Amino acid sequence: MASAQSIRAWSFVHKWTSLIATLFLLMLCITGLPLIFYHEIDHWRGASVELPEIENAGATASLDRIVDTARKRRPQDAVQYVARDAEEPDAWYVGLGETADAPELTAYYTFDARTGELLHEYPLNTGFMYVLWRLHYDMYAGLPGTLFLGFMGLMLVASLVSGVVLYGPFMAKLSFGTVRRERSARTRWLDLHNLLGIATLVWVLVVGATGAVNTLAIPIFGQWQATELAAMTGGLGGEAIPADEISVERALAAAHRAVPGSDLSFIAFPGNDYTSPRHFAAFMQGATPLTSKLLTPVLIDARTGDVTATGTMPWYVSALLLSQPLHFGDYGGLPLKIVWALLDVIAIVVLGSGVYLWLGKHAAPTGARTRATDTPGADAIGRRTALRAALRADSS
Amino acid sequence: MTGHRHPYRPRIWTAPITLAVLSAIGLTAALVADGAGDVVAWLALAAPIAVAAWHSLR
Repeated sequence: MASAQSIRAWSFVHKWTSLIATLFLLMLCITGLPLIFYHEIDHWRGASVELPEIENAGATASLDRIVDTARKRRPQDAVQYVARDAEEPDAWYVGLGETADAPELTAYYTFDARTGELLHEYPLNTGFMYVLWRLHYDMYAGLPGTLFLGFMGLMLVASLVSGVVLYGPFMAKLSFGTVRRERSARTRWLDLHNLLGIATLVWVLVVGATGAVNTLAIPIFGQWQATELAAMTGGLGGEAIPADEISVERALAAAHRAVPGSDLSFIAFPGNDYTSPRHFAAFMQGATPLTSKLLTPVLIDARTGDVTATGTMPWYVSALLLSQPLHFGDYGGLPLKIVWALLDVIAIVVLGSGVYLWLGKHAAPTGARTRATDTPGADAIGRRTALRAALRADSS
Repeated sequence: MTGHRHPYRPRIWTAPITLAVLSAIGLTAALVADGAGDVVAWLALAAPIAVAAWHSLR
């Protein structure tokens, strides 16, 4: 068998990475559970709207007029971007901030793309779901909070890898799925911890690793803005936004001509962080399921309406963009979200049973004693974890 | 890794590897194809849930 020494080393990794991260991972799993259904819950609580049935369903409203309506409602603010959702092709979303590059939005409007009618203003920074999201995203601690949670994601990955290594020797004398119900509660939970952990391994690994990648969103986009975007815009930072800005409709048409067969994801207005003070930047997505997750930036001169650059995103931005659906589980309809939720519940049980097994060792010496009777010859092991006791019994 | 000097039975890993491969297929299928891809994703990712439930609750 693997040497007792290497098992001890892997147990040490499993124990400590888990101990460091478990509280935060439990918080992430619990807040994440309703967040899987963010979209559905928003609809249900009236925070977003269904598009009304209209008679002339094929109509298209002027995007310029929609943007004007948004500006008139908040004349003190600047339009930051206009966005589209492939799932909701009859809606336009308009985001405004105090300035074009303000980090926070002041309003987020939904317009009917067919009639140009303002349908809804999203309630920003409020409500129970927002609280859950902030806890999950940065624990109200800003970028350091986000990066800390990313680090917890890395602890999870280390914990999973060490857990897999320990699974082999542990199962040497047991068949897959064995839950020794006739034994102590501790043994039963140890078996369940191993079974549920190994069964959901790849899903937890992928959701954990993509979650960690998502925590790097701000640095990743920062790197792209500082290098590739700066190169595309010719480093024209800080200049005034042209007064004779062309219409967004014209900019969008130019972007569609530059990347035929693509759909708009969002178009950033001059001065926004995703473009320069004198360009619109349209971010186009492909038409296939995979390419619809990726973006192609197109820069349009806000004075002339000419496309000045069409780029591809570097690998690290594409990796981030692909990490998002794999973390959120929002890419396969409602059944996939339900599957996501069930796997999340199992992950909660794995985390909880891990805490129970560790606590039991410290708080209740009876646990260790019961354990000793389960594994003959283990008396000398005393207060070691049940897992290590079991492993030692297997190797002797 | 750990199996060289131990009389490991390879079947220890049969079920875990099967579930790992099914999970990977499920996670990928809906990403690369709509319709059939979504259905494959639901079924493949339901496998670890079903196996976990079956052994835990029986």
